Amino acid sequence: MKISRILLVGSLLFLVSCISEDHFGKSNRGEIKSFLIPGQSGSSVINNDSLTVVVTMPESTTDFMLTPSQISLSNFATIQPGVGIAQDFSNPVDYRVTAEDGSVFVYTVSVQRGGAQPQLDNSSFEDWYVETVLGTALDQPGVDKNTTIWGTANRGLALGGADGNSTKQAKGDSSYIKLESVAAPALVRIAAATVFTGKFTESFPSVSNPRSNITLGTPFPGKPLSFSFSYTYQPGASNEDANGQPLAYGDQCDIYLLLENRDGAQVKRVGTAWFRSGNNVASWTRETVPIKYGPLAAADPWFGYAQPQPGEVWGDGTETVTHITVLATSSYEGDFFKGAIGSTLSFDNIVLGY
Amino acid sequence: MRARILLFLLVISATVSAQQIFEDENTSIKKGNVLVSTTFSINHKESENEALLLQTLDNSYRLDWAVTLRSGYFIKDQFAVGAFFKYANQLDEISYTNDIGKVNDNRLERSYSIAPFIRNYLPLGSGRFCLFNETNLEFTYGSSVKQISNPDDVSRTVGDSYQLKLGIQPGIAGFITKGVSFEVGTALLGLSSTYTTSVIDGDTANKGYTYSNDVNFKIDLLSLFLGITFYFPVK
Repeated sequence: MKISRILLVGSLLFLVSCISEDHFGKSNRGEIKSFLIPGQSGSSVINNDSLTVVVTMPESTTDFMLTPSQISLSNFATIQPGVGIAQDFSNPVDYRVTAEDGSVFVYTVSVQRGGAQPQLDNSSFEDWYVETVLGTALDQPGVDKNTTIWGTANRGLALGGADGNSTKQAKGDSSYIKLESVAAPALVRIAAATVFTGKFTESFPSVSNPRSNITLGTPFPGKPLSFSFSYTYQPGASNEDANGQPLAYGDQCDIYLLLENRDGAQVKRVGTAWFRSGNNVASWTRETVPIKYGPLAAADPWFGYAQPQPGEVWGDGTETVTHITVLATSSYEGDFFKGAIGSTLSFDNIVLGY
Repeated sequence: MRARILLFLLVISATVSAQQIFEDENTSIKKGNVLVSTTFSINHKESENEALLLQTLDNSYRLDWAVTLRSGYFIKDQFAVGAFFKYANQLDEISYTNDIGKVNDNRLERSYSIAPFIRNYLPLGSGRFCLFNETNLEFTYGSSVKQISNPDDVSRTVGDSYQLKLGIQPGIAGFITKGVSFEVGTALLGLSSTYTTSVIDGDTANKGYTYSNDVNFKIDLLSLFLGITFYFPVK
């Protein structure tokens, strides 16, 4: 009897000496401190007043079934659904945070793509400036020579004594660029017209290697999913090689977009979109071309001609984009002096889709 | 005037009777006696807008108290065996304001100890004063909670501690009268072994622990203790 009393008293004393963990009160904090989805761009924007979280994913993101890999909360708080559970972020998803004292905070987590959604400067060819070469006044796309991102081969033709073959055209109140393959003023048979993001050489152009005259690409930060444009195309009547011999196939226009990473020593091709057509399109037509990120598959229709160019290798598509090249030409084999004189491409309203 | 004379006579008579008590020997520490003592300590402090070196406290509140119950049996003259139980409670609550707002820093620790002891007495002269030495083996269990809340979050550390200590406590007992002594002693810490665990913010998966051993024989003046001990039966 005595022993049991002693044990009872001892047990009570033991209980008295134990302290409840929440002796000083349960926490009423239920904040989200961090929210991380693998591959996201930058930091999540968390507003603990409006109970919102905004996560920005790269422009190339198309699958919104995403799995948060880390969610930090106020101490002692819990969250539903938890970390590691995939959610469809096509629409905002509610996350329920419960504080230690039972207070509930419902956060709305939304995922957006990109952030900045840059477009190309003067992509509708509304701005033009005049460049005079050997007395010939040339219309060139852009506000002025120093700021324009667009280049043409007009100056090469002007140095040969001819007019430019990439010209400003009016369409109602607006304007567009017309690219026409013409007979070369000297030495070679044909001068395909081209407009591109980049610079045409300031020195005397090479006639034998037209591609060496242009430096392609302009700085660009975005990762668009597609690019679209308006065009008409009339291939020339007779497609011929450099020696004037008829070719078995017709002339085609080429309109393509390349996204590159030029941060390192090696230029990497990040994304590719290519449009090549020999169809006669007389009325303005809108075309949208998806941009494929990473290496092209062999089954891809562009696989044969959209491979990396000299000095360029495939990236895996996840790289940051630093430069964009958009090029349109009236004769796709113009680099090799092949093409049909009179092939005409009208080009306007380039829009990058995100 | 009459009251002063009465007080003087009382003091004289008490002194004379105390001298008579120990004319032969101190019978309180004889074989078969029982000793019982209790000590109680309390430390309380409250402040408002108290300026400290690095921080001005908005409010502070401290209440530390401890109670010890001790009992022993003289198995032979001047030698007792027994045990004591000690319960201690320490509460500290402070609040201050820093860059992010008001901070409440609270801490509560409770512990209880149980210790078997042996106590040797060495009477001086007639035995009115006795030197004594207590040797005990003390086991202490303590638990603590420290919680800091600020506008940003609430942080909490929960700790448990277990300590085994071999203690030596020499002192002197002055007998006020038969069966009652006033004691002053100190702790000569001999050997202690302490194991503590701590869980921060409920993260039991990363429970921390420390294990420490101390061996020393320095006098800890801060643990000087005072107490009154009763001896039964009073002969």
